Amino acid sequence: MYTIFDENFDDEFINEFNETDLYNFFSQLKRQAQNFLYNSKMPPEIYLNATIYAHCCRNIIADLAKFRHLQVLTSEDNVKLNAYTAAWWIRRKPFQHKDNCSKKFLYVNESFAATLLFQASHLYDKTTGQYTVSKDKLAAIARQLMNYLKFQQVTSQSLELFLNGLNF
Amino acid sequence: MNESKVFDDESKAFAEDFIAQLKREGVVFKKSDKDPSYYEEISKKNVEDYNKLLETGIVDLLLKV
Repeated sequence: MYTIFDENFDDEFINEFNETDLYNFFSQLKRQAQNFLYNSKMPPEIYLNATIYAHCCRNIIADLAKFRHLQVLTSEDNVKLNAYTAAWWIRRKPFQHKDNCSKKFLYVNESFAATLLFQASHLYDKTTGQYTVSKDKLAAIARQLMNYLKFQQVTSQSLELFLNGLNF
Repeated sequence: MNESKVFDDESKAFAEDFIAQLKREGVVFKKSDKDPSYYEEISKKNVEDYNKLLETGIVDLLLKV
């Protein structure tokens, strides 16, 4: 897997994006991350590290560029976009802790990644703002997903497959 | 939820800096065949949907499991 830092990274691929598309995507992701912190009432010890976030963004576009090149990725393809974003978010961990805080918030990056996956899944109906499954089933899916994100080696492809499985 | 809008300028500033940095590194972007508002609308809709998702209390559930 190439990144922009990799000497072998093919520049032709990165040129597949247009400026407005990338600008809006990264502006959107940062807003989502900050809304996640703000609206979930995270403790002030947790913050979004700008440098790590920038590295994370580079990894995401480097990874997604090949799909643009193959013309299999559109701006509306939330499954692919969110799966790849979630995977890199977990690897890079842009949410950092300034100080020790409750054990509850230890997996804040994994939780954010999970919200991105839920957003792209059919478990959540965007038009009604309701879940399409029962509370118990939702909790069971959330538990399994978080266990995977916390303790397994997460790949972009596995998350995309997970989402496609849920949405099938 | 309205308070979340205060982050708009900061998010845009980050995206502008990020794109500018890529350009300095020699990245040449493709010209878009779509109107810029097309991408802006998608982005706006995604943030609105995401905010609605957060209102369901999903983060509490995820932090508990």
